[in-house]
Amino acid sequence: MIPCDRQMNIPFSLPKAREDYMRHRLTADGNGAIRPNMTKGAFLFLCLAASSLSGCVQVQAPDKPIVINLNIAIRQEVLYRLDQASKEVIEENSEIF
Amino acid sequence: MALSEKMKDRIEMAAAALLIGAAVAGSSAMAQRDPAYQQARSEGLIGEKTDGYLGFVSTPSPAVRALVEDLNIKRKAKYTEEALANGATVEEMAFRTGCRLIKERTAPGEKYQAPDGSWKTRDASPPLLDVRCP
Repeated sequence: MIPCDRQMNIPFSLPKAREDYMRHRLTADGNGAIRPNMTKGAFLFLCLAASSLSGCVQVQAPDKPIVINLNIAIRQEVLYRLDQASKEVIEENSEIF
Repeated sequence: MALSEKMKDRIEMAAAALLIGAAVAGSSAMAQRDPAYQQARSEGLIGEKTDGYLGFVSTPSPAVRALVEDLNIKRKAKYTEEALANGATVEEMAFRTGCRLIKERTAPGEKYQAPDGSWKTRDASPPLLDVRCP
C-alpha cells in the first residue's frame, strides 16, 4: 500500500506538524497575526477592569507612624559566615581595633 | 665611569636596606595601638559601638575626634575589603566584627555600646550584645 509507506517515511506525523506550527505562531512569530491581537485583547480587558473598579477605590491614612527597619541590611546567615573573617581582620590590623 | 657605576650600586643597596628596615619597623608598629588611642579607651572617652566603629562617650576634644575619625576610616576600608572577599555587605562585616570587638577586645573599665544605644562600662561579667550577634 503506497499511502501507508509514505506515511511511514514522514519523520513527524501531520497533527504534530500542525501543533508545532500553531505553537510557533503563538510564541515565536512576533509579526504574526495572533500575538498582536492577543495583546490588544489583554489591553482591552485591563482597561475594562480598571474602569469598572475606578469608582470604588478608597485610600485610608494609617493611624500609626510608618516605621522603617534600617537593620534589614544585616542577614543572619551571613553573620555566621563572617566568623573567621572578623577574627582575622582584628588580628591582622590590631592597631586600629 | 666605573666608579660612578659602583656608587650607583651602593646607593641602590642602601635604598633597598632602608626599605626593608621601614617595612620591618612598620610591621612591628602594626601590632600596637597608638598610645593616645589606648589612653582615650582606658579613660572612657571613646567606646566600641555595636556597628563595628568607635564612638564618643562624651563630647571629644579635637585631637580625640581626629583620632577616632581616622581609625574609623581605616576600619571601614578593612571591612570593605573583607566584605567583598566574603560576599557580604560592609554593614554586615562591620556589625559582625563589632560583636567580636565588644565581646573579646574590650578590657574592664572600657566603654561599649549596649543594644539599646546606651554606653556601658565593661566589667568582669559578659557584655550586653545585640541579639543578632552569633
